[in-house]
Amino acid sequence: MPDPTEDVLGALGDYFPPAIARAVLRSTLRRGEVAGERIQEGELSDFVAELERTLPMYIVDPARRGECVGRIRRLLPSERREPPPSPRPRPPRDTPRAPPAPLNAVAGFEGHANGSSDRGSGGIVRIRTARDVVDACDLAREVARKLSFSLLDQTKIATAASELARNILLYVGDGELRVSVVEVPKRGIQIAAVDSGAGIPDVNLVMNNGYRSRTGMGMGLKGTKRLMDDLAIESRAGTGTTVVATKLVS
Amino acid sequence: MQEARIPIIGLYDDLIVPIQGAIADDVMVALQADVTRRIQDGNARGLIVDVSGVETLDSFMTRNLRDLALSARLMGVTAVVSGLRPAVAITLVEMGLEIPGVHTALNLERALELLRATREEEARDLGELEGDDA
Repeated sequence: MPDPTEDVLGALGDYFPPAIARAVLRSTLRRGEVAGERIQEGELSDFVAELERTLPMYIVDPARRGECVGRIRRLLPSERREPPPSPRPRPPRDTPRAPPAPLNAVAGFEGHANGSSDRGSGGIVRIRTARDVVDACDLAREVARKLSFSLLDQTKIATAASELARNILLYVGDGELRVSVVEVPKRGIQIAAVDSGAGIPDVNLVMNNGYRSRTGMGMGLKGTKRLMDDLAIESRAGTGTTVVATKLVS
Repeated sequence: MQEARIPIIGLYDDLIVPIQGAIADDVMVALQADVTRRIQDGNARGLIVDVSGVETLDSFMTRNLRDLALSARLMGVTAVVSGLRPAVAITLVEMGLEIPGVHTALNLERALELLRATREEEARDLGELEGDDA
């Protein structure tokens, strides 16, 4: 069986513009601890399992999400013969965490195929340069403004986005900042910083009061947490870091 | 990335640096080099960095700003950061960030007044010193 990557991208292409489809692919592979940007032969079922957890970042509507997963699942060799999809066992990776999944409901790209029509509902900025940090910050402010956050809260949110994007730039050099709108439990904004760098060996240490990093003023994540309602970090040595910060409209 | 540099305006004995919008790191680094060079080349006595056009300051940018002001101060120039927006100021405080060792002023006008007052004070001190000598 050939490399299923193109088939998956094609299927995702029914739901997202190409750039976003690739981002979904990438982030799903990353979550599954797969290096590179391709799905290896025989790993498609693992990919589908991961996808179910990645997808809430991108598609709000559970029905539509299920449809998308189903579409990918039909690419599995076993599914081609036997329709009833059994729930796939999840890979062992999932330890208790607060994933973006349950909280974040609304993603930015649902509904507009060109992916650029409405910046106010969210988006993804790839972080590789200082200019990208500025873009991420602008995007977060734009979304916050559309959500009618106060000017002060807009500033806090934009600053938090800048802080998270800068962490990616300074410590990893490549990653993504995803800004989306959440509806549950209330309307709000969610900023997810995702990278596949070395990870934070000791999250508690970083969040502790005396901590100073080599570049910042020792305030990065702690400071960010104070600006937002909630900040969750998932990090493991070697597999990268996901920081999800949320602020609800008060 | 080539960026437009931030202008440095010479006004009598002072240098005024108006920062607008978001500043990318490289621009900030270039600015620090430019300002210190201008201080070295000229006879500036005061530096005002006006950030009234800045909507967001994260910890990294704040540190750059502080470094700029402190390096000017080490060269004998009084540095003032002016025009910090209320939302930016509150955000910095909330994050636990301060800019210790740097003068701040409400706006450009106040910053100029502050520099003038500092200068007069210095002149007075100097006068008293010379008076003692005489």
